[in-house]
Amino acid sequence: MDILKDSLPLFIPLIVVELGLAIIALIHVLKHPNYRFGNKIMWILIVLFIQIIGPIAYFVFGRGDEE
Amino acid sequence: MSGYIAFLKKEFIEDTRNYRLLLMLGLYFIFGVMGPLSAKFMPELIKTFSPNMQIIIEEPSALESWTQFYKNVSSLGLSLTLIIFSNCLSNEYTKGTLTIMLTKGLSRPAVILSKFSSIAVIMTVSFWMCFGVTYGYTAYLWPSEELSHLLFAAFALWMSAMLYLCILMFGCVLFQQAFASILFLLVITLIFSLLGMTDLLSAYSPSFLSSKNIDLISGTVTISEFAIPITISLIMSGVLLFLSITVFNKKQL
Repeated sequence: MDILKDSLPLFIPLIVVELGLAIIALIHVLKHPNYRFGNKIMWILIVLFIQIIGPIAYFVFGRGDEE
Repeated sequence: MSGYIAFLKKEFIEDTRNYRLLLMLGLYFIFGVMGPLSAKFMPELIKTFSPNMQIIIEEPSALESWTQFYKNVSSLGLSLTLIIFSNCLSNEYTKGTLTIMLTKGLSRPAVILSKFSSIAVIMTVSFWMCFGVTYGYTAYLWPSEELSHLLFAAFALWMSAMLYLCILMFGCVLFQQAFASILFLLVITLIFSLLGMTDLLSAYSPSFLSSKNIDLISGTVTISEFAIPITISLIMSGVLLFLSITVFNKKQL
């Protein structure tokens, strides 16, 4: 496990980008309550707990039209 | 020409607002980082979490890191890219936004060409960023290992990505719905991989470009073997783009 702790800085970009995508998608989910299908809670869970693919799925399939 | 540039600008603005650009950059950045890291630390993790498991784990190497890169990008990366861009024309069909611009004098080939160029530029930037990130991480984690043909192997994968974008473009022109164009793409991909399985045609199929990259780096395949698949992909991309334009010219909107 030591080898992992020593190289923790290497993981920071990965974590930052993954969290960034999740947060941007989360903000969008909360601000735009119109979805093509599904509801708010479902999309929040998808966006937060499915790495990478969650935010992509939301922006491609779930995002409703802008009012 | 001015129509092309104006529409290209509109495409880039749309891709930014649609979060497509952001998703692509994020996706490829993550893939770029994940390859080397999982090659380096996965054996360690397996050892820590299941010490009793008796499997032979190879010492992590730079080659393993590139194997991860090609595996991730050619399968999940490319499929997600195509899904992200699958509604590039169907959105315009359903909203009827193209009709207005076409009646105002925008030429039809300009629509297809600028759509394709915007997608190709975004794909190219994301892909080479991914390559750069993997390159940097691999060079840092395995400073003593030298591998040859890295750039050319990545170029071959990029070439096949461009071919798939052309197929997607053609699918989008043929079918109104994004779902149908994805299905069309799947069928073509299936045909390519079936061709790749037969002994006679495997050296010519475009799937050669996205499956033999790591063999090129490890030295089991030579660069000259890539010449024919690259030529075939180039010709096919050109033909597909041309077909998309001709079909779109006659299409009723």
